[in-house]
Formats: sequence, structure tokens, C-alpha cells
Amino acid sequence: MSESNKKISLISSEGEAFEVSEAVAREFEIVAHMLEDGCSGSSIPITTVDSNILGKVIEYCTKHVEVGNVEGNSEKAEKDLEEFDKRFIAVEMNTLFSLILAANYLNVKGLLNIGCQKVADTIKDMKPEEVRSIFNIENDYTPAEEEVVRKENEWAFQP
Amino acid sequence: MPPPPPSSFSSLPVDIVLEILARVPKRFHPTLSCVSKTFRSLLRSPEIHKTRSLLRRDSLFICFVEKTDQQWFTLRRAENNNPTEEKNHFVSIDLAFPCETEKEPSVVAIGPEIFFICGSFYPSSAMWVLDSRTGTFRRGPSSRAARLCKSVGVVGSKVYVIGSYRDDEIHVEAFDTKTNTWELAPVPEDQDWWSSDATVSLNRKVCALHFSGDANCYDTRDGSCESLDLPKGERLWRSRTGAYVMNNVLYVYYTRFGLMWYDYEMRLWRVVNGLSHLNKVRSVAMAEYYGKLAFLWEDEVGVSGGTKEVWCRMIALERSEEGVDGIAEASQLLGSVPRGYMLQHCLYVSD
Repeated sequence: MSESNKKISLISSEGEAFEVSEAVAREFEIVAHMLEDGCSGSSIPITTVDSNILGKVIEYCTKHVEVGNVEGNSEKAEKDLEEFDKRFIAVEMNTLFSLILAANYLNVKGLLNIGCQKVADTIKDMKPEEVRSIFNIENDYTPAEEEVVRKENEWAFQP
Repeated sequence: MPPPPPSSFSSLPVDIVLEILARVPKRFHPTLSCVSKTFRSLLRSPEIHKTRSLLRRDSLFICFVEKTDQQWFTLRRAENNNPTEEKNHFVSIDLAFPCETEKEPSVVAIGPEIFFICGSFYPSSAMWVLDSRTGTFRRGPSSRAARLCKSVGVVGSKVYVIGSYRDDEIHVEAFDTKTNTWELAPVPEDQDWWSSDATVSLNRKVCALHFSGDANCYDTRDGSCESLDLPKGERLWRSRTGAYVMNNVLYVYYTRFGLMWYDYEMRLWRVVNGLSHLNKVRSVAMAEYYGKLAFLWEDEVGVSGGTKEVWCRMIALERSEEGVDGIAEASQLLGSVPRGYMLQHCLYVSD
């Protein structure tokens, strides 16, 4: 492929340039669409994502493009990728939320999926109060309303 | 426009929160709906089931029995990217239960795992666990002693086994799926009638239902027992799979009355509204599927030779002032099975 050597610069919100191959840039669906729409420039501003997060998203996409290019031995490759995803997403919550927002904005479906799954796995076993305090969620029930909702769902509470 | 500071859950757009909640296993949804009004409304919205459907999170494991042979099938969403076209695939699967001496174990599901509790005919302490995602069995920890298994129900993350031991006394053991250990549960006050034709869990109680119309409920918290009357008169229901609890409401299908639900507060049985136009059928199975009740039945009419048809329709059930309203979708022919097959289990399995 002639385009595989082409480099594209992605510019973070701080103005820092990240040079990546076009194949990696295309993992960002938003960038892929820009390229298809004839946006021929070689530098693309990603104004809503900072350098730290953009670097991570690029790391994720690079790994997935690399593994996608390897032929044969797919089972092992898949396992490796699973391991990579697991390590990649084991970050503190604020970073996780930033990654999810970036993946959503840039439309990187795989990353959005593992990010949302990670949050889901974290909250599933928690009590309502724990979810509220860890994620800074306001309890907008009045005490009376909360009492009703708790009663309604009491049967499902973990003992 | 600068993005909101991505420092908290609340900064996530609502469609992302929906994506997250859809990935939480269904059994944790009631607890999470207590977090906030937003959580509750998202968890009760049709969108969450659409999202879960795209992720193909739910499936049914359906078992037919013929003499002593079992044949399992699964019902799953077909793989496609069109959310408006929700097709289901009914497929026969090869599940070789590894314990040959145990013919009809009790079977329950928690999340993606299916638990096979031995001891239906001979005392046993064995348990096998099937991971529905991989189709592989593993031997679970043995219970504390061999017992004849009478009724098995799931409350929270525990499997409760009501059984009789050597001294004929009824005891209860609970298998905690979180700690992977068995523990003793309170002894049931009522020592009689724990054999059941169907077992359901309602209000943290394990209820043994009998075709005769009686039901015994064991409270897992303190061992207290209460009876619950099913509509009586003649043989009104006879499908082991014709009783099901969804969102803590007990539904039983009667050929004569149709789908009924138990009003626990009023202590009476009521017909689900809006379903009187449906044909009466005999052998049925029910289980939750993407927020609706999957209602399966066998049809022997119009099929020649040695097979019968298996049909399904999805029924949306909604609590209202008048009781429970049902909205039935069009019926779907799932496939055919040998005429000798009888519905034995219908399990909701959810990731």
C-alpha cells in the first residue's frame, strides 16, 4: 500500500504534535472521515484532547494496528491484545473518564468499549452510597423518595 | 467549545453513562437504580435494552428432556448492526453433562454461569458449573454433606439448596458465588413439602411450587416459612417451566386463564391485562430476555411426522394502576424438536 508510509500529525489541545502513520490515524474514525472528505493536510488539530490522553489513545491504536497487521498465529495475538487492553485500561478513574471522553469524541470504538466495560465492572458490586461517593454523583432523591426506591429494589440487594 | 473538566462521572454525556450501565450485568441494575434519578431512569429505559441487545448480553438456555436424554438449545440475538431488526437464533447446542450417574440435576443460573446441583434421585454433594460463554463445565466445590436435593433457588449471589439428609431432617445450604464456598443457612421452620415441581425466588424467599396448587416459601434470612396459594380447581398448570419471577413478580401461565401474576401485597392472583387475544397453549416456558418476558410454547398442530414446533413471542410487562399490562409482540417460529421432547428448563443467562 502506497499510503502506509504516509505520516500525519495529530495536534493536542496544548499544541503538541504527535506524528503517526496514516493507518494509526485512521483508527480515529473522526480522522478517517476527514481524510475521506479530502482533507489533505498532514496535520490535524484534536483540540479537545490533551497531550497526555492523546498520547495514550495513540498508544492504544498503534498496538491494535500492529497486531492487526500480523498474519497467522491469531489466537496468540488475540490473547496478547486482550492482555494489553487489560493493562492499558488499569488506570485511575479520572484518566479512565478522560480516555472514554476522548474515545467517544475521536470515535475509537474498541477503546470506548473497554473503557465503559471497566467502569461497569468497577461499579457493579458497589452499594449505592459507594457509587455516589467514588464517582461524585449527587443524590437527587429526597429521603422519602429514596426510601421508596430502596424498598422497591430491596429484593435484589446483595446480603 | 472547551470540554467539561473530565474529572467526574457526572461530566460524562448521558449516552456514555447509558453505554456503561448497559455493560453492568442485569442482576445489579436494581441496586444501581438507587444511586440517583438519572441512573434509575436510564436503567428503566427501553434504550438500555437496545444497547444490551447490540452487545448481545442476554441469552436463554432451554433444555428439553426425552426419557433420560437431555437436549439443550440457546436463544440469542442474531449478530447484526441493525438495532431496529432484532432477530433471534434458536440453536441446538452440545452440552455433555460430565456426571453420568446424575440424570436430572437441579439447574439455576447466576449471571453467565449455570449451576447443576446433583442429588435429585440419590444423595449427592456434587455440583457442576457451566460457563455459558465458553460452553465448558468445571467441578464446583462439594456441599458439606450428601443430601437429597428438594428445591433449589437463587437469592442475590447465592444458590440455596433445600435438601434432606440422612436423618430425614430438612436443612438448607447456600453456595456463595462470591466466595466460592458453601455455608449453612437457617433451618426451615416448616419441615414438610419441600419437593417441588418448580422453584422460584420471590422477595428473598425460595418458593417450592407444586402442580397441586400449593407452594411453600422459605425465607433465606431467618428460615421462616409461609405458604402461598396458587389458583386451584383442576390441573391448571403442568409445565415445570411455566412459572417465572421477573423483577420480583411471580408469573404463572394457566391454559385456562392465560398469564397470571401474583399480587403479593393483596395476596391474590390476577390476570395480566391485554393478552386475552392470544391463543391458548399448553406446554410453555418463560424467562426474561432484554427486559421482556420471552414466552415459548410447543405446538403439535399442523406438523406431521415425529416433530413439533417451538414458538416464541416477546411480551413487555408494565406495572400500572390497574395491575400488570402486557404488550405482546408477533410470534416467531423458533424451530422444531422431536415430538417426545418435553420442556424442562428455561434459564435466563446474562453477562
